[in-house]
Amino acid sequence: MRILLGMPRSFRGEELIWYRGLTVLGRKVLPVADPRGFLTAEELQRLEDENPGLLQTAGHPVGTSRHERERV
Amino acid sequence: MSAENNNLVPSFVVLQVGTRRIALPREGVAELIASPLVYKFPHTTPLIAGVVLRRGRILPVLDLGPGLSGALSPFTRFFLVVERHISSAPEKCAIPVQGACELVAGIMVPAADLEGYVTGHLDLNGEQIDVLDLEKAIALSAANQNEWIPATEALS
Repeated sequence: MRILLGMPRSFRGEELIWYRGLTVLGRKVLPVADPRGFLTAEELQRLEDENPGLLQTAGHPVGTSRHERERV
Repeated sequence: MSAENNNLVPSFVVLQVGTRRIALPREGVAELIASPLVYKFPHTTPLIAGVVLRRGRILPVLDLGPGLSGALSPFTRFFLVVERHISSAPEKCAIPVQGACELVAGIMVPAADLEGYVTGHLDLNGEQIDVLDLEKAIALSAANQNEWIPATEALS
């Protein structure tokens, strides 16, 4: 994945928690899931324990990231 | 689009959403595009039918059908790109349209009821076309769609 685009402002539902943004792969638009959108705190801790640093790479607070464009 | 443009007379884009012909002020309209694919994914925002790709940008597709014609818009590959201002920030969105869009110049007669989403009317060769306040129309259509969902679930 080369690029991550923030969710368009027109979206205003729970998808803002589910997704980190949208990406384009092979001329298809796909949402990029945010693990914190569907995992419990316990599951997130387990994920972090088993994959140290993964969530720091993947995450940033929902709400501040919506309109950022970032390269991954 | 055909233009009968005059700098002194305001111009409007007439479009068809479902079975209804409506008009939008030209200033808020960017372009008419053809896009064969609407990309869909799970979400909960009313009216958004998916997104389209346009020149490397991702545009949300806003279906005004539920509020304007009482039904979701039929499949189309044509979209009118409009500019919304959400929280003071501009964002382009694509509205599915049926049939041709037309650029017309005319004087709008303001609507008597300012509470609704119709700001006025255009007389096009005897046909009365409603001119929309896009943001109000979106809000009303979203409210209509929110009412549909429980009704549909109750029926199923």
